[in-house]
Amino acid sequence: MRLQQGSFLWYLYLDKIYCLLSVRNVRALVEYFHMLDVHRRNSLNDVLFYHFLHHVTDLKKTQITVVFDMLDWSTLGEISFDQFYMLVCILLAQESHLEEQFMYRHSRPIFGLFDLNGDLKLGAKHFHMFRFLFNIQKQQLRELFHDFDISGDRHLNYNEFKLYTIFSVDKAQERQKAEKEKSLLKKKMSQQVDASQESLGKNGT
Amino acid sequence: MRSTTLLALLALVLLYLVSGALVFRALEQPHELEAQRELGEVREKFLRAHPCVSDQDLGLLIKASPEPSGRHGAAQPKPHGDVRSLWTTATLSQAQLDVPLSKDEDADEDESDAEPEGLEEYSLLALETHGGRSAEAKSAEKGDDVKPATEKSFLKSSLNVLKHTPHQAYWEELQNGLPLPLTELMENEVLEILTKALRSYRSSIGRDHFLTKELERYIEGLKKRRQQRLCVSAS
Repeated sequence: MRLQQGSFLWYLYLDKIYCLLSVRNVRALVEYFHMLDVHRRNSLNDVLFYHFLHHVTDLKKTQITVVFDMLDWSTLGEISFDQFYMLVCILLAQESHLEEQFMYRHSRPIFGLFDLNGDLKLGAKHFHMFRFLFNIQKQQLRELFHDFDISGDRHLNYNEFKLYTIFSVDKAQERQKAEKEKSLLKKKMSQQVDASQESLGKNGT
Repeated sequence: MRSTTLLALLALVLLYLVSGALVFRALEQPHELEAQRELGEVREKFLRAHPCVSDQDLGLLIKASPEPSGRHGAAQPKPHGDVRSLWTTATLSQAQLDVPLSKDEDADEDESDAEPEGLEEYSLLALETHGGRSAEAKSAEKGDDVKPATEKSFLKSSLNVLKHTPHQAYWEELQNGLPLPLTELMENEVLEILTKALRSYRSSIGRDHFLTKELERYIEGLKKRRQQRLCVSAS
């Protein structure tokens, strides 16, 4: 999923550590929400929500419906600002490649979102439905249930889910470190090659 | 009288004059500097609030307008002996101002009661307006019709505007707390989204449904607001 470049959400900045928006950004977002709230009910209905998400992202219709059902936890058929804010943060986290960090920081509300039945357990089916929101691959999902389903009931409870988020953050940090080292190594190598070429040139003359 | 005594007397008079000038300078310089700084600030605020007016244009307008306080004393029936009394007059003449005041007037007066700085700023403005009026009176006495009355009233109103009501767009931005380009971006985007939503409304619940009509009205209002903003920024 990608945010549309140049759209309003594209200009918001999600804090990299706490995965939250600044107060100034939230104020702008409130203003934006009020503009979208045509019927002055402090909420967006499904049609407005669909067109909003369709305009700012490249999500498909079925995916937007899934997101709407997920956010409309009180089954009012409308999305209030709290849920809207949550969605925007998820979109921005994905845009800035902070999915793991975001899940780790806000594990409780995300667990609540994924837990559609309210039985405090996450099934593989539900997880699979929402994996596009956090860029989780199929293989990763299989590994997740294989490694973290400690109780063996094919469901994740909150503690198991929390463990998964901690593990995925560690993994993401390691990946970042490895990438950094790789780029540093590349830089050093290129510098060394340049230096050796220069010395060869000098010897030749 | 001996020439040495005369010279000594002359030196004494000169010394007296110089010391008097020094004392006067020491007393008045801080006030003058303060007044200059405040005037500069007001001018800068005005220029910032009205980006369409250039610095040179404002300078030309001020040059073309009557002298603010230079010939103040001459125009008064009772000339003021001391420059300092001008400040007192300015402060006292607040209530006598015949310039129509904006709605923020009461609030400003309250502020001026609470803060001495606010009072000073106000009196500076009052001095300017007062000075303008005295010069006007003088030109009327001379039968001088060269300066049109509209120009003077414009100066008055511009001074008033600069103090009380900043540029509309600037004021809106201050109140809103959001930068204007961002608001424009938001409005344009929302307008696009809502236009698409209106099409869906029409096809699904019909044109005559009250929700469709509400959305239509909202879009119209949004378009009007955008148009107004464009007009303001263009002017």
